[in-house]
Amino acid sequence: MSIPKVVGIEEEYALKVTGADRLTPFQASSFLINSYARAKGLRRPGMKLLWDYAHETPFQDIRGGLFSKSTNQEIISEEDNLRINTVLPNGARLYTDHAHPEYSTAECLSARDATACDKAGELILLEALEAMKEELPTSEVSIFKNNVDYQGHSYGCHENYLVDAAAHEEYFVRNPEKAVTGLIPFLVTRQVIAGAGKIGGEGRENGETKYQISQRADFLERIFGVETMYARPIINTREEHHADGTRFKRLHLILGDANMCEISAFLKIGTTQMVLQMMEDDFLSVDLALADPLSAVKRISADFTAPVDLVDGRRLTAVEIQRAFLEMASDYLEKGSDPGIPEAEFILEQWTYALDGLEALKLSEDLRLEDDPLGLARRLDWVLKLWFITRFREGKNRTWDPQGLRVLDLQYHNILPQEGIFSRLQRQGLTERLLSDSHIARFVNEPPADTRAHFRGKCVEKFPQEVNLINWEVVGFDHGDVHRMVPLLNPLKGTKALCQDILEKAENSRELIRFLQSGERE
Amino acid sequence: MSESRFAQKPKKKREKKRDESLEETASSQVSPDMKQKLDELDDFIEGVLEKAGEEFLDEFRQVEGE
Repeated sequence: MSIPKVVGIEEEYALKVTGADRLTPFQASSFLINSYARAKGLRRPGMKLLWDYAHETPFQDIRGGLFSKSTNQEIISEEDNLRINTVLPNGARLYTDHAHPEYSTAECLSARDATACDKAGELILLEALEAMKEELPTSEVSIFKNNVDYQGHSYGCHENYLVDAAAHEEYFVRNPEKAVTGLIPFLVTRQVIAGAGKIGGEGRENGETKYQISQRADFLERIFGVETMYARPIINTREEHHADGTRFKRLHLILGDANMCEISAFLKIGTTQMVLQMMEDDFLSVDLALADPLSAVKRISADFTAPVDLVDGRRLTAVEIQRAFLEMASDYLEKGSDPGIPEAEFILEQWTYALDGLEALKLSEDLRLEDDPLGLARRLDWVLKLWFITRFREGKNRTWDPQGLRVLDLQYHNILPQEGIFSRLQRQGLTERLLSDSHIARFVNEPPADTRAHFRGKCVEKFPQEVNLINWEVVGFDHGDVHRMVPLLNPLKGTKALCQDILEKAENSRELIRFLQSGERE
Repeated sequence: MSESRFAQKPKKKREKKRDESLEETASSQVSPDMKQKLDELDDFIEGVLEKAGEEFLDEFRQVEGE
């Protein structure tokens, strides 16, 4: 039985640090985060807003007992906790993860809001940089929203979807072949609408590739797995659900790219919501199992028109496989199934448009964009990147120089308006927008109203002196003699509709808890 | 939840209208306004490359992320 597809995006940004201060990337990342926290009034004397690691189990596998490393978690000092973490009034977490500043959006119900929250993260990082420059004027830092450094390293843009616990158990624990048949072909081929584009390739399969669709494809080595920094899987099986695990599970996907185009991001999230909902309702009726999903993900990335082998002997292109999922989704809606997904029809319209556009898209052997009748270069990252690279090469009859093009590739993802190529393209009206600037700006300070993020964000905004420990599933208050924890085990509770009254009425967190205990909200 | 969400199956529109907004950029018939935009874009991209310098890729080195 399907449940609403709450979604959150985790974006690991890259930093390029130069300047006289000689900060390491870790120091720069932590400086950024704390400069922003100070600017937002979250580091005043007496405040101790700590991230609660109690619910994180990165080495525990959903399939049970497969511990690849010690599960003994290191105890982090309060000083270090504050150095690398901050939770924001918009319900998001901004922190340092392996020297990357990571922005984890608050939980969203709709793909549109999730896209807006992800874009709000860019604005927050820019504000953080401004705040850092005020404190450290000689620092020179650029911030990039991408997934590869061209020196063999990759960093992620992870997606998290709320999944019904029974369906999760069935598809990922008891009968993972059902996921291989139904979900994996969708995920492997999704890159044609959501890939960020990349100059060149890495590894055995794509080492000679000039241009490919996905930044992450070359780094995928497993179908299922618990790791995230090596042996990366298509579906991450970390046993960490951040909710009442008897009812809710988290599907943690680490194969996606960081998107700059709003439509690419929206399609990535919205189509995945649709397919997961169909999975929960046993509606993924067509067997599209790939003979070798890991080879297919790389092959499609290198050539989106290349057919890949299915287990049943057929050979289909990525667009044909995506089209099969789109048709299932259309049938799903036509039969009156309630997807509970905001803008379900709009998602399918955009999906249809993108696949029609890909069927008509023509590239030359030399990877020039020859015909793009539906204007995907205004909508999808990998096509837009290829468009400006084609233009750059043709302008002065340049050959395919990977070094120079890699610089341009990276600068496409630079979020600084004065340096970033995507930012420039968007300002010049050369991209199709899905969101208004005000929608994005709202999520810089405001949490989404329709998930538990509202409660979390408003507690941080209103009672920052009193919040002591916080994470996705709990808000803890320090009341001196006792610590009071408010569990947020249902991501669909704690919403504005349920909590606005008491959050506005309460003058402090003791009063808030009294209201909660007296049942003044659901 | 409105019924309209489910009322219509999205129609496949195989004969979609061409999106000419970027196509104009590839043609010799670009409007003066678009030509100026594209010239500015070209200058910007050339500037990006020039400013980056040869050390850009080396300086970009990251650590493995999740």
